[in-house]
Amino acid sequence: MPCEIITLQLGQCGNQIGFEFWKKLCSEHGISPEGTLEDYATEGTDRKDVFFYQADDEHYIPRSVLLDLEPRLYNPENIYMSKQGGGGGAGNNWASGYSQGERIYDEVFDIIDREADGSDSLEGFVLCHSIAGGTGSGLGSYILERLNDRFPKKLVQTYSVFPNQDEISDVVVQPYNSLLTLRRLTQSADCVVVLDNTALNRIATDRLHLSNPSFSQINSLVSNIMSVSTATLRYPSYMNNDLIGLIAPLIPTPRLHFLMTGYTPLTTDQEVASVRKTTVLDVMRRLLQPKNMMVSAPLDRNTQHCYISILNIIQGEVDPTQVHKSLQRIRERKMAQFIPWGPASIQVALSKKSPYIQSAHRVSGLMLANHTNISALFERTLKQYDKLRKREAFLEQFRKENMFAENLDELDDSREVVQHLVEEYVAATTPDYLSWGLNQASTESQS
Amino acid sequence: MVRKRQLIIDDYPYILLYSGLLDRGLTPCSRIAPGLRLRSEGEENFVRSEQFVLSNLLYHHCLAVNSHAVRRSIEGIALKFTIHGQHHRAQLLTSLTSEFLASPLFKDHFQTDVEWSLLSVLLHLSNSPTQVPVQEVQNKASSPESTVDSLPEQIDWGTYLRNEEPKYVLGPEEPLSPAEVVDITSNLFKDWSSDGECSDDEDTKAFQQQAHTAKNLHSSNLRTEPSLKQPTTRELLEQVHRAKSWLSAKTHIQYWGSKRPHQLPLSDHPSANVAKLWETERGLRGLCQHLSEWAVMREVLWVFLCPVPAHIFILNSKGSFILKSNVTIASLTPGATSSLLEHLCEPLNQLRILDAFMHKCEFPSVDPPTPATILAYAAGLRLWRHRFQSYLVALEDCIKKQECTCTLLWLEGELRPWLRTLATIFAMHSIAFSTTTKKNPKYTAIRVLGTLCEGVEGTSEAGIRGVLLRLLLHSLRHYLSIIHSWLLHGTLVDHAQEFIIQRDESVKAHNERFWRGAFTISLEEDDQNCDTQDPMKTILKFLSPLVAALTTVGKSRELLAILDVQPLSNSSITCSLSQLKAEIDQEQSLEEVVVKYIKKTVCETRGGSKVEDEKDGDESEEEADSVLEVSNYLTPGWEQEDPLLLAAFTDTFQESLQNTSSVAMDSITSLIEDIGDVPQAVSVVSLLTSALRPLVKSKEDELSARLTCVLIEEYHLDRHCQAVRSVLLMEAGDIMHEFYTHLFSKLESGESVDGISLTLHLQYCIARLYPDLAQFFSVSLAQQAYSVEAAKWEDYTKDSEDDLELDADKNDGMLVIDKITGSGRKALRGDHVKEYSSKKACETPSNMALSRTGLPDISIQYQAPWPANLLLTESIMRQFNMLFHFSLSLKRATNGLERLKFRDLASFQTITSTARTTGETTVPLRSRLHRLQLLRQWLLCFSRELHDHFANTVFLPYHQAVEKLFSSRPSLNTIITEHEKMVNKLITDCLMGNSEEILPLQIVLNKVFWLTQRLGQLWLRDIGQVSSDELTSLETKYAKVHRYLVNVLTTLVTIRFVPHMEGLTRTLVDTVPLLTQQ
Repeated sequence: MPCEIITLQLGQCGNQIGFEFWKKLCSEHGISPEGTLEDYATEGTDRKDVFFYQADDEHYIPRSVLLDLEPRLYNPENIYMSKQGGGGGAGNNWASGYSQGERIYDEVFDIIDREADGSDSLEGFVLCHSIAGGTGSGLGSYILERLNDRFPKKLVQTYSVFPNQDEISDVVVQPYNSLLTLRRLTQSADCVVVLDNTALNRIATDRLHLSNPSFSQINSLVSNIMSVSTATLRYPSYMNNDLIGLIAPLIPTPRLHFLMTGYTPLTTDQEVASVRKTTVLDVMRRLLQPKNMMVSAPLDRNTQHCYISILNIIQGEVDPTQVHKSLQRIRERKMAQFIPWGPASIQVALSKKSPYIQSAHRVSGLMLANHTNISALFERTLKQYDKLRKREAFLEQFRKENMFAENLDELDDSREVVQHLVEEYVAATTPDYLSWGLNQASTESQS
Repeated sequence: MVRKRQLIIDDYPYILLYSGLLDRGLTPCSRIAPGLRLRSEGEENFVRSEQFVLSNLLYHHCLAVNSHAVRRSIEGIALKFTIHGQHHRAQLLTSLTSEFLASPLFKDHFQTDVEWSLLSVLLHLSNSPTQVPVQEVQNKASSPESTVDSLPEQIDWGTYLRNEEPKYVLGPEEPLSPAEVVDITSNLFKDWSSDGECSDDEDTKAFQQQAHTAKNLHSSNLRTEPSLKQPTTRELLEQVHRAKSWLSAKTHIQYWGSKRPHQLPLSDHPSANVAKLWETERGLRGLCQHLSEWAVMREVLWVFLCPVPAHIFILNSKGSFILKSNVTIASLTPGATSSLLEHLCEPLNQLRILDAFMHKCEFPSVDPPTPATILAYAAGLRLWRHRFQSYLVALEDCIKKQECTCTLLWLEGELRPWLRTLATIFAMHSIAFSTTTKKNPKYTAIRVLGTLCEGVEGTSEAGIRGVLLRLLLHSLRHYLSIIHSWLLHGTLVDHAQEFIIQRDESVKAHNERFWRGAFTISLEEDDQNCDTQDPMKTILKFLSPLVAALTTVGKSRELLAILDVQPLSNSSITCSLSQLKAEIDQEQSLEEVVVKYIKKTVCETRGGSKVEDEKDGDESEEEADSVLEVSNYLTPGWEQEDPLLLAAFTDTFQESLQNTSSVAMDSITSLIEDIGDVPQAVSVVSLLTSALRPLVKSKEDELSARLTCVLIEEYHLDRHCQAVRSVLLMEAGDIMHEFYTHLFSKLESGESVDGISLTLHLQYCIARLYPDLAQFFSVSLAQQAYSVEAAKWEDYTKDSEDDLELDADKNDGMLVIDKITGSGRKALRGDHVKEYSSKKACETPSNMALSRTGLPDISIQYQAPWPANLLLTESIMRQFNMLFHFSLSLKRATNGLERLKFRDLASFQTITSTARTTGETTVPLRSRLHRLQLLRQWLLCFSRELHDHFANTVFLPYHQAVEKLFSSRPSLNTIITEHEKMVNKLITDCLMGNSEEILPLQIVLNKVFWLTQRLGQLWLRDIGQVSSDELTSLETKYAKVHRYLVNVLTTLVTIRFVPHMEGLTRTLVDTVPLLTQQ
């Protein structure tokens, strides 16, 4: 019963990061592109069966479902490609993706069911998608809702790529798409790992000095985050052996489940640095620095944003007692601002590194943090949505679909949900959050 | 040739010479002219050569007599006569010679120096008259001249020489001494054996004896001469008388006989007559027996040689030596004599006891067997005794020779060091054998060794230390040979059961107690022994560092044998040369190595010069004691004066003694005997230790390495350990996750769990990771099927008294800390303790219930297959199970909370859907919901904090430490002890003692779990029915639990040094919940 996880890759973006993710997993587990174990992969302590299943004695096959509405060059079996062919996919239209999802529901869930049946104790799903495009957001939203209905006991975690604000012109309707997806992410996902393209690109240019970062370079960053965040599931140890254990302490209330990530040390493949001596404290301190956060949340001077909870996944040669000292140091120096109403929980999970990958760093760390500042992203989306909505721009594409044929309530509802989310995040920065339910209700009743 | 003869016929000396030469087969020519070799007359130049030769003969002096030499010879003869007192003859010879030389006959003789030639001939003739037909030649040759002086003389040299000899008259027979005529036969029978050496008793006697023998010789000579004549009666009587008197002079009556011995010779010196004077003064004349000092000295030596009752030293009724009263020597009063001799009695007693002991040991009993150590000890004792005896013999020789003045005082001085040694040995001996009760052989052997060891350490005198060390080494030989065979051949051969380490046969090799209990070093007798100084401890002093190593070697051997592995790996068979050499060295017996080492060390510590001095002595010493004496006599002075003499003597002595002594002593004994004095600075204990340690250590290392190698590589000891760790400490998170979620869900749903189904499930889980080891795991439940209903019921009943209980818990916690630390805080809190102990007494049942609500008494057994069970013993597994229980309760709390999903929150959907419709009900509802969620978060963070903390700071370091331990491949011994230590550390780090009582942490965990359960119930219930009071009470309870733990930990951290807890304490202090909305 290894708490299997099924990965769903939706749309172009989802499939791209998914592809990188699998590449990474394969190399970490020593699985060749053919699905067989490499000769050197003799250490049997890892758990390949969380993300792979064994078709026969030799072949490992990813538990993944690839869904795309546009036919693309992609390999393995579990691929659903829209049979409409040449239909132009969702056309960056959430509504199109969503309604197409309704149509292909049976086929898609046949595949998912089959996958779910193939695992002993399915723990949940991981969804890779972007929230701005058509397929990832629309079909993703639809599948999120349906997954909740169909597998109410299973966890749904998403790796959601937020659009790059610097290249907003690519998809003009992305505020609509994002808003509509955010609603589903708020209501139907258990945990959302926010991958902010804006921040990732900035990191690539500023920190890694890549003048014009390519998708694959960004995606390798993303895949790195994804693989490390699942490392504890794949390398069994004393703690965090299941997905729920990993995310449960991070999420205090149902809606505050958008997680930021931070990774250190950041390197690219070109940099063949000599092995640097990094201490646990260094890693943990750096993780707390805003420049390492992979979310482009601007500093808001009005609200004292703070951490709700932190989970650090440290990999490499670590002296466990060092971890403990570093934690103490961080607490003493108050390096991280924590919520005033709850436990300042910094968790540290030590995880093994893949023995097959040589790393330039002795210690590396990933931070999964629940920070109230993430609301800035939603606020931004709200603002952009409001701007578009005011001009009723690009709405005719949406009106084509049944959902929006009659009214645009869906958009309004979504806005309200996201607005509530932002409010809750802001409320969480104050000690009053303890009695938030009370105030919230009272304000609501008054209105 | 005939012609030649005629030619020189007139010159008789030449003829003589010539014929003589011819007779010897030499041609004169070759003699006279060595270059000529003429064999026959026909040869070329023969004539010329002959002429040359003859001319040489006639006219040259090559054959002429050296007149000076002749004159010197004659003068020498004359001088000889003079020296021998025959002046007359000398005179005659001189005058005759001069007369002969002055004869006018020679003056005109055609031949020069003919007179000297004649004299020379005469001299030759007188030298060896038999070699030449003197008479004939002389008669013929001297006939012409005999008319002058030779003929009338006609010297018959025999009579001539005897002729004017003065008549040698023997000295007149001395009158016989007036000693009594003794009954010869009785004396002969009585003392025949000792006659030769005992017949003389005073200084003057020796001279007299010489005179006597000389006389007797002469008389016998005289008697044989006239034996042809018929002796007269008078002569016969005289002969008889003479013989008798000779015999009586030679026979000496012993002073111990019934007859009164002859009087001592009188001396005028007053101090020689002290005894007599004293007697006269006291009027006790005749009561005291007067003995010569010489006799007393010899008796002293005899009794020391063989301690049996003698004349002066007699045994009293108790069997100990005392002095015979009224015995004195001439120069001392009886009192003084006895005081002088008295203190010899004690050594004699000691010697007697020791001799008896040695005698007993010569015939060792078979059942029960006498320990070989004792026999070896006796042998060592005997060697010392032998040395002593030979020393005594040497002393006696010295006294017998009477070449120097030997007095009783001198003798005692000579004996003193030996007696001191004897006293020390005896003291030790009596301590060693003092126990009256019959002990087992091991005890006896150890006691002997211990006493010896102590003796060596406790003695300050170098000489005695040397003796004791030798004795110790002798006694140790059996131990050493046991060790030797054990080390080399792996068998503990100890027939007499005397070795300090015994194999406990009841512990089989497959038993898990094997490593600890296979070999026992039993010293339990210690306790009965109330000796102030326990010899056992002393023996352990040098053996104890070895005992561990030795047992390790033994155990490793045995294990390897059972594992069917060669004790030496193949790699070492194809080893380098140096190793080979080491192997050969090991073939040398351990005893030898040790003895050599000690010898070397002891010799080194003595001064270098001294060593040089003693070198010769040492060399000769090597063979036997007597040689020692000889060389000692020889070495000091004579070495410088006459090294040749020394060499000659030592050589011969060595040779002669080699044959005799090499049979008696083997090489090691002689090696041991070779060790000289031991200076105080050398600690024998450390010496022995350092001698043995490297050997034992190397063997231990070798075997341990091999054993570890085999155990890890072939029997995967580390893997077993890892498996246990994975399961019981939940290191293998995934499989254990599966197991405990299964268990928890069963408990949750109230299903009964039983050991068998759990075992099956566990094995199923483990099989994924360790397919081969899964079968060894099993789950057992202490109680019969655990009922959740009962637990729940207990929960509810307990609910009301929960507040009280938490307070009590707090104090319990303090109590526990006190117990852990054992600090003096108890005194301060004495009244508190009393107060709460009464309180606690009534609350114990609820506490017990609490523990049961937490978890069933579940334990996982691991039936480790044989070699692994040495490491994973039952006690270790018990500790592991405690830890398992601990981590299980940690997991249970976190797991319970994690499973509370927001989506499961029963009213979640209703709220989100009805949020806006029914405004008035949602007000408290939403708030309550929020509180519920936050409470979950608090609890979750709290339990996760605990969980992660222990995982990171306790379990993970342990894991690393164990991995490191195995990777360094230490000896099995180290593995076992270190592993045990680590597990103990784990236990203490988890704040668990060995006591059964509930510890604060456990209380907290149980409480958290209980809260979790309550939360879970509310979570799944319709939120509308959850009153805010209920929530508040839960919140306050949680706050209490949190504060309780904070209190406990703060106290703990301040009292003890628990670095790993400080961080946790700090975190918990920082996160004290603010939940309670008062």
